[in-house]
Order: sequence, then C-alpha cells, then structure tokens
Amino acid sequence: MTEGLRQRSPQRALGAAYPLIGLGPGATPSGDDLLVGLTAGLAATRHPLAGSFAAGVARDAEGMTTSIAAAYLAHAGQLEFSERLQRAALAVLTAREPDLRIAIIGALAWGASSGADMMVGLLVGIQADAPWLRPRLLACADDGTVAA
Amino acid sequence: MSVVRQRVFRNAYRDSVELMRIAAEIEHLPGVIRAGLVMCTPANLAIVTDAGLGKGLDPAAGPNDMVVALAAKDDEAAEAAFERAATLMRGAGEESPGDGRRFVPTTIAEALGELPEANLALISTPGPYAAAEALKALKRGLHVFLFSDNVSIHDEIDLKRLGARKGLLVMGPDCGTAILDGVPLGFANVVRRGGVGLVGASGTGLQQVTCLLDAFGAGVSQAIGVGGRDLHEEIGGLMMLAGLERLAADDGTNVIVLISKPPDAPVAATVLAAAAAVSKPVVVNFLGGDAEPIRAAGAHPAATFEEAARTAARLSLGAEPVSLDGDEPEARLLEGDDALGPGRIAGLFSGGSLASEAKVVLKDLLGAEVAADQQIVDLGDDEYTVGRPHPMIDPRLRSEKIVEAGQNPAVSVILLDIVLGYASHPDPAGALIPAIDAARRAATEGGRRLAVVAAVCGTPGDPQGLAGQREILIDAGVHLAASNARAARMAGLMVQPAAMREVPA
Repeated sequence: MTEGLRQRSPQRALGAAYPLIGLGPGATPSGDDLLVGLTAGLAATRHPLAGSFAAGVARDAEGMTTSIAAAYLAHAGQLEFSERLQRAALAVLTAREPDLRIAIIGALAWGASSGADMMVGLLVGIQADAPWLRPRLLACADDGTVAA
Repeated sequence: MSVVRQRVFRNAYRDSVELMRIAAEIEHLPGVIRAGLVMCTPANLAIVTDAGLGKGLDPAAGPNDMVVALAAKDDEAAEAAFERAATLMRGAGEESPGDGRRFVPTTIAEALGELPEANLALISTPGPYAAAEALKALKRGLHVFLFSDNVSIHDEIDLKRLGARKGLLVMGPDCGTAILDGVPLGFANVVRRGGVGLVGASGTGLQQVTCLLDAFGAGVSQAIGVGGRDLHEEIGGLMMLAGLERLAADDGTNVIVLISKPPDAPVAATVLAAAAAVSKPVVVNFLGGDAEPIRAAGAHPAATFEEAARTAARLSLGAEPVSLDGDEPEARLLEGDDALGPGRIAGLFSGGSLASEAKVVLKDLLGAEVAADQQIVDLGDDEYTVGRPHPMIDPRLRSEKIVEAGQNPAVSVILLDIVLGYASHPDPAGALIPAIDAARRAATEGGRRLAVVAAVCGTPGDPQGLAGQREILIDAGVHLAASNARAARMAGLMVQPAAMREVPA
C-alpha cells in the first residue's frame, strides 16, 4: 500500500487496502481503524493521493464492513476525522514531549484496540510521503509510547 | 471426531477486548476445541472459512451481524458454548440492566441536575480530558475521585491547589481505591466499618491494609486515596494533609493510617509535622522508608502493610488483634523440604504497591544484592496496560507470564498476589489455575521443582468470596500466606541460600 502511495498509483494503493476492509476483531474491525488512521496521516501531510485514496476506500467499504466502521470510513472519505485523531496527527508532526506522549496516549485509549490500530495507520500514512519523519516516528516507538 | 457449528447474533456490537475475552472463555469450556467471535464482514468470513470454522454458516449473515464459530467435540458441547456466549454477551452489552431507558447524563452539569445533593464526582475518562472534567466538578463544589491516569503533574498541581482552597478533596489522578462513608469506589473491598481512617497514595496498599484490618477484627471509617504522586515535591502532599485534617476532625475515626512510598524529604517532614499535631494515634507506612523520623514525630512506624494494619487494629480496638489464619506455614518451611535453595523468584504482581512491598520484604530478608536478583514485576504498570485491561481485571497477560516462568530453569518460586473486591475479575484465583498447572508441568518435565506462593487480598464480604478463592489456590497446591508481606517472606525463605538461614527462636 505504501509502495502504491509512493508511486502515486491510486489503483495499486486501493488494491492493497481492499483486503483490510472489514478485517479483524471488534465493532470497528482493526483493518478499518488502520485505514482511517492512514487516511488521516495522508491528509495531515497533504499527500497528493489523500483525497482520491480516502474516497476510494470509503466507496469500497460500502457493504463490506460494519455500519459503524463504514460510517467512519465515509467521513474519512471526505477527509473528516475525529478531533482526537487530528490532535494525534498534529502532535506527531509538531509536538514535543510530553505533549506528544499525552496526545498519543489519548489516541491509544480509544476503544479497546481501535486507538492502537488507528495510530499504526496514522504513522504509516504520515511516513508514506514524509520519509524525513522516519527517525522521529522511530523515536516514538523506541520510547514505548507506540507499540511498534 | 468433531463438529463445526456457528451461531449468528444479528446486529450485535461489542468491542474487541470483550470479544476476545469471550472467545478465550468459550475456548476453555469442556468439549470446545476452537472458537472465534467476529463481525461477519467478508474479510472476516474468509478467515473463519480458512480456519475450518465456516462450514454450514448461514449465508444471510452480514457485516452488522456477529458470529460465534466453533469446533467442538459434539453438538451438546457446541450448544453449551453458544449458551455461554449468549450469556456473556448479554452481560457485556448492557450497562444498566432492567431499565434501558434510564436517563444517562452526559455532562457534570446534567448529572447535578438529576442529583442536586451530590457532593462527589467520580471521573474516569482518558487522561487528556480528565483534568478539564475534574476542574468543572471542583468549580461546582464537588469532591473529586479521579480514576484516570495520564494526567500531567501540572494539571494535578492546579487541581489540588484549587481543591485545597475550596476545602474539597482531589483523590487522584490515577487513584484506584477509596472507601467513603462505607461506599467503595474504584477497586475496593467490602470491609467492616470501624474506627480506622486511612489516607493512601497507593491503591493496592490501601486495599491490603483495609482487608487486613478486617481480618484483624478492626474496621474502617474512611479510606481516602490521593494518587501516587501526591507526596512528590511538586504536589507537596496537599491531599494527604487535607485527608489527615479531615480524619483528625472526624468523630468516627480513632486511629489514622498514612500510606505512601517514601516521600520526597521536605514533604515527609511536612506530613510528619502535621501528624505530630494530631491528638489521635497516627500509624505511618512509608514503604521501605526510614522509621526514625516517624518515631521522632510521635507516630507509629510500620514497615509493611501488615504491620500498619496490625498496629492500627491494636490501637483502634484497644486490645491485641486476633491472629491471622496461616500463621504457621512459614515456620514449617524451615523444617520441611519446601526450601528450594538457590533459584530465582518470579514475582508476577497485579498490584503495584504489593510488588513494592514484596521488594521491601525480600531486601530485608535476603540483603540488597540477592534481593536485586529476584524478578518482581508490576504487570499493572503502564508499559503493560496500554491497549489492554489491567491485570486485576484481565488475567491473560499474567497467565502468559506464569507459564513463561515455569519454563525458565532459573525460576524456582512464582510469587503472586490475588486481589479481590469490586472491579476485580470475578474469579481471579480460578482464572490463573490453568497457567499455574502448566507452569508446574513444565518444571516437572524439566526435572525441576517449582513452588507457587500467593496471598489473597480480600475479605469474606467481597463478591468473589475469600474462602472460596483461597480453597481454589490450596487445591492447586499453591502455598498460601495470610498477607502479601508473608507471601513475599515465604518465597524469600524458599530461595534463601542455606548458609543464610537462621533457626527461628
């Protein structure tokens, strides 16, 4: 999926995203949470495919996952995200300790595993077009704040 | 032979931790070979099919339906598993059984509209939001029990200063336990009411002392938790001081117990000066701290939670407290063949303060060097609980660690705490037995001896029942001690090098 995003190939990225839709445990399956986070990461870094990828995932998700997850993905399709996710994205991009830590822990606390799934997606999404952020993301992971 | 069966629950939503927990429980039922609970999305159904659990699944099941899919010995076992799953899901999904339409307030203001005479708010939201809610509560004149963690120390300072100015208690952040006017909040036990008032910066410390007071025949007037950072220099013990002042003025309290890790020195001095000014006896347990300044302040130092409880019980009752059950096993160990010689203790704790107490006891018994070799772990620490429930609620992580310890040739004793009471697992002892058995088996197969030592922190009144929990552990061959300190000591004696062992007088 990240390959597809890097190559600016919506087909390839969406093709890789498709098997994740509706995959995994929970009322919002893990795969969907990851995709919501990933889309937020793309949006936060102004990735050129953010809009088309998000809309594509939202379309693909119709009927393929739970209504709750589909609703989240539909909003993500319009590049609309929860305040908590936006705050986490902003913190990953700009904040210093301990605000970064607080934002990430806040995001992780969402639901049973949804927060962690979204955070993984968010980090993948941010990194997709901003490889210069990699050391910073690794630092978050090293810190134990984000389970890598 | 086995059968594959599914049951579909229409329009059922549960969060993933619930689902995994239910699946784990179903899988342990007799006759069940494998079980999975997922939403019926196409991706999940593909996995169910790949796992060989999809045969005969209702094709009408859609993404908003949940399926319990399992392989079982026979239809009877499958049917029993579905019944159990249905029961567990009913329990998981309904927060207010009986009357689903009851008004549930979404803000503190709305809640006060419903209950204008309320004087306390219990706040349990993710950390970043908790301070704002606590502030609202304080501004409306409510005491605050702040269960949330991950609240910054700056917010804690602001909240506690405001609380102190307004004469309100700020219990927390990260406050696990309180018993106020006989009402337990958070993780708390059902204890007899009586004359001992406690203020504690330690959740399981308060639980252990209140339970032991109950066992000693004494009772609790108030138990006020203040959160683990209250005695840090930045906070200055503001709420321990406020709690002490309230207990000093409380007619129902005749003895006061203060519990904390060793505080920063200036804070210790302030707290002890305040204790010295109180006319009631004060018992101070600064776990692992220096007893001398406490004695100098005219208070009673207690090295362990058990000693704190015993001293407070004696002072409150005006007589020697009743002896605890299980006074004997320690002595028996020295004579018998339970002493295992060199080998390490794997202390796998669900209570942070209980882990700290074990370390203090072991250091005292074995010396700093040998004690440092023992692995005493607090599995409730943040590093283990991100994204999963606390080990006092969910036994899975601890079970894994118990099995690992059994496979580790360097480990000869597993030391456990079993914490009962509200909010804890409904059967914490029973939940660990499969892991304890597996650890034992692994040791036996490796030609090793492995002892399991535990203490149950609970009372006969607790929902789980103290006697039943103890019996489960004894039946499983666990060495049971009457207090956490005794369990730690028992474990220490087992690994103590023979040369260090003294014959008891």
